[in-house]
Amino acid sequence: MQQRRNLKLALSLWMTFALSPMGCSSDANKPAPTAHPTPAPEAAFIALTPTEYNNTIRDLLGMPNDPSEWPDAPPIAAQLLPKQGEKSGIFGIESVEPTVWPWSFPDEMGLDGFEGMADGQASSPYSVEELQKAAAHFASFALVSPTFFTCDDWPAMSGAEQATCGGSSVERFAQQAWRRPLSDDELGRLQTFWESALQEGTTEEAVVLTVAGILQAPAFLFRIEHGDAENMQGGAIPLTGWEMASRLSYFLWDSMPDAALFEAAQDGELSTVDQVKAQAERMLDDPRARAAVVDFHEQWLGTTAIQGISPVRRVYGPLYGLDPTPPLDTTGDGEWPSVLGPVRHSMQAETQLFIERTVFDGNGTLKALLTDNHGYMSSFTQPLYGDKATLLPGPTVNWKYGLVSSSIGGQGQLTLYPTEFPADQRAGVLTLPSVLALGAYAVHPAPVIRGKHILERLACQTFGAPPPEAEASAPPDTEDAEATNRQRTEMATSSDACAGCHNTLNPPGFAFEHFDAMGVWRATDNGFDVDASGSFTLMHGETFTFTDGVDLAHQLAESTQVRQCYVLHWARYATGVHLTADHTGLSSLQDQFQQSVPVEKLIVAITGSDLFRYRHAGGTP
Amino acid sequence: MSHRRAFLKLLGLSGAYAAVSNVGLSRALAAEADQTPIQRLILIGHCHGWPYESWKMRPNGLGDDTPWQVDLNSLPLEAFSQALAPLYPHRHRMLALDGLSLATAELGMDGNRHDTGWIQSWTGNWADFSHTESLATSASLDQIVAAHIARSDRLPSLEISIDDVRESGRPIAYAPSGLRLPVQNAPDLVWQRLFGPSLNPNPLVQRQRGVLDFAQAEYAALSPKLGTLQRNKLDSHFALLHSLRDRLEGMATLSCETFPEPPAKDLPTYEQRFDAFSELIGAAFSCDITRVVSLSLGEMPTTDFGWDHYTDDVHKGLAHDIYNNADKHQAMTDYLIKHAGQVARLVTTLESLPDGQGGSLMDSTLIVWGSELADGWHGYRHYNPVILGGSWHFQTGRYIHWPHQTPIQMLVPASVNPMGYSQFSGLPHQHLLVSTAQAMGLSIDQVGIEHVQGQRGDRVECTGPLPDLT
Repeated sequence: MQQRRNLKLALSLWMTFALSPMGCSSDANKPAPTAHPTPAPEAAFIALTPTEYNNTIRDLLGMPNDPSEWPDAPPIAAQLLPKQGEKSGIFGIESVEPTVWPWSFPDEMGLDGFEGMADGQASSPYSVEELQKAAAHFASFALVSPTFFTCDDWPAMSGAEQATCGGSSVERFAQQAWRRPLSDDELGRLQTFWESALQEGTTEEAVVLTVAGILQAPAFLFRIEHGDAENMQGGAIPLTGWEMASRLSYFLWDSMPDAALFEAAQDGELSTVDQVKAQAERMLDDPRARAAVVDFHEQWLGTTAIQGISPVRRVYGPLYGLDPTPPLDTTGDGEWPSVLGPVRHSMQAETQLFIERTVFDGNGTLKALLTDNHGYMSSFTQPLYGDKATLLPGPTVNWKYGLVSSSIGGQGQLTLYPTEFPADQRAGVLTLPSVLALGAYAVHPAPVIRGKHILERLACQTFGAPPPEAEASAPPDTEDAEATNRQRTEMATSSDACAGCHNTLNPPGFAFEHFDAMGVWRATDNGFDVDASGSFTLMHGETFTFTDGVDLAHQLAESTQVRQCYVLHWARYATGVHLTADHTGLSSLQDQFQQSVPVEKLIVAITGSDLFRYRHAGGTP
Repeated sequence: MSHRRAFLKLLGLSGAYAAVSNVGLSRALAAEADQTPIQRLILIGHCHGWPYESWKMRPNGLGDDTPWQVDLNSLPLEAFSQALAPLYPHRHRMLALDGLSLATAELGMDGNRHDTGWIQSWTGNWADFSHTESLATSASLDQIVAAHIARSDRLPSLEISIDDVRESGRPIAYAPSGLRLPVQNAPDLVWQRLFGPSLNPNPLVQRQRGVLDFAQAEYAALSPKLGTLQRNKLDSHFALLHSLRDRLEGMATLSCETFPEPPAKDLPTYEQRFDAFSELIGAAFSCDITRVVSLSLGEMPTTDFGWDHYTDDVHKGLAHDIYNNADKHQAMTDYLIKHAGQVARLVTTLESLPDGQGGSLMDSTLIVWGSELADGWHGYRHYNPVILGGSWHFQTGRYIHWPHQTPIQMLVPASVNPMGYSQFSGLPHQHLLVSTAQAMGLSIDQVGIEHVQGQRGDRVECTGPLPDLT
């Protein structure tokens, strides 16, 4: 309800603001003087990521998050973006129904493990095609959007009334889509296009074509930041209020600013550190922040790739009551995919729920993320956790998912139960089955991959390339291998050429040898007791000596290097720029982020930092 | 009936080996083709290189130490390469190149050898491993060629891959910025991309070109206000938007007389997806929707080449051990034979489609089949690409051998040299990229690296085409 009131307020503001020039910032927009602003290095503009694009479309059109609740597309949609296959109707081919929302774009390549990084994005013919199709697809929904028209009951109006209302509606839509007031020139071009479209067809057609144009303009597709150059301070340009509103919303919501942010931008109330931080605190209470924070952590941990894990049936099928070998069927094995699909989705759901509940509803600290032994499980992952997992009282979570496998396509739903896992077996994100399964081959765990992942993503410690023969020395991933997985790995990496790196790489991986390739806790490996102990030293001098993965996770939670690395990841994610670890703008944030400081506080601190509030003047013409 | 056969039937052809005929699409092509003969390029990359011993040919006892070549047309099947045997019927179109190395990759070892190989093999340039993701440092060959030969009103290039759950195809295509281009791996979606825009033109679709004009005007107004970095990124998008406008127009006026059936969604097997893509490539070329394709062959499951009783892991279970396990060497030979069979089917498909200029599509197509590595052991030494087609530029039908005399030391297994390195490499593969570019009409002498220094300080030139090919 509060949101609706805010929206109405913003809409009225837009109506009065429509003809204002872009450079209308008042003195109130000027940032408070800062002694030595240290912005992020210069970088190209950031394009909306696929997630941001879809979320923005949803919020622009005032549509629900559940695509099944979207209204039907109006008939004009079929003309604007004809269903595939119609021309080849000579073959009687059925049309392919596109997904209503979200639109499927090519993945970004990313940088530093994250989407939305300025230097990790590149347009391609394919991506531009998809942007054009998406614009055509979503433009028609303007006609059935609850927020698009500036008048009531547009369909019932006369042609002249429709044209008047349509004109004001597309203007307001453009300002919202471009996330700032339009300049006179922009407004002129928009009006010219609108009137031209009106002359060539119906008002409906003019609306959807104009909206499609707005959605393909650079001001929509890119987060363009000029800054307030008049207030440049030593090579740092403060962002304008409108630009700050977008920075905040795409950082914290993966979507466009809401009415309150637009209002604050209009009133010059996004210029001081306190104003920005106050908005950030407000925004973190919104459900959209939960999704965005989860998204950051999934990219940090790499668990967005969980749908690609492929443990083999002949080893893990029996966990689910299946014979190791599938029944003779020339069409393939339909049984194992029907297990593995929901398992993957459950792993993903458990990861997301653990992160969300820990950051927002639990202790809220990085330490908790690395050590908490509470989470969720479903009937599909219960075999992975074993009998020691204890169901807790509390609401369950229903989790819908889609299956894409040819053998079992369709929709599914999981019920996730709050669970306490044995504290001597599970501790935080590193013992989530998703993280463990991604650090594994089809049969055995991959200690080197697990160790490298921990060192790179948690400690920001990178390694050079392995010597040429290293990969060929990796032990085979077969179930009849001799000795233990650890021993085979040690043998493969014990030469002088390997040991220099592997003395550090292997131990954090060996720490999780109590977990097989699906994340099942095990006391023995190949009949031998698991040895998960070890010791290693990080480049900044911290030494970890541990008995197993749980012990190591608790020690990592106390590590200064891990904490500073976590801040570096967040700062890169927030700015979309490849910050180096020694960037001077980081030290203050890292100093503030002590063990007991909740992640939410770090996020708020980042929004108030120079890194976030200024752009580098390097590229200013 | 397979989809491919269905397409061929629609074209009025009787089957996979149908003779070239001036029916069906030829009329459409005649109406569309300009006066310049159309040339087309397909780059194919597969995983894990070639088991050299079963790939190489040594007819008449020819040795390793001298340059030589043989006429494949006169070579009996028994003397032909075991691993390439499925291509024997197409040997008159072939150039089998024995004497190249991914030599510069051996010098650019900042990263994983697979990643280095994938990037260097098709860009000819250094990889950039300074970020979490591997980047290229210049455009790949297909993009260089596409920039030269693509129609502005059609798809500049098509990037596809055949993926298995275990290991997907790696990217072949890199933009000039070094970022990989998105790859499509679902034949049904590729079909939609190729033929969707050619739906019955309706007024609203036509008017979307005006929409793009509006968007372009916004880019044009914004560009002068930007700094260099920002402008470069936006200009890149702007240029693509501009070409998209032309493409919308061009694709809407596509005058193909017929279209292939859309492939089924989620084709379950690797072979089915390969054949579906082959047909789509043929159809795309027939209708001149694109002239450049990169096809990345992801790792095949062991079931497809008869080694599932042994392992389900090609990479670690077979490829790594080709030099110390005869069974695994044979398995990787069978793996390559399977790929050769697939490539042969692609050639057959292109041969069966008329090009509107009196020949078959294959007559105007150049296929360059390479790999990420020279062998599954992660070696870069014996890099053995095969050229198929391109007879307007190359003298095909030959096996060409050059002795390894380039002063770059290459990693070899101890069974070859206990020191672990060979003294010399083959010719740097950049020469092949230059030859390919020149065959496609580009007047360039360099693709990727210009020169390197070997480990002993010798300067090695990487510019210029391969000798003896034309």
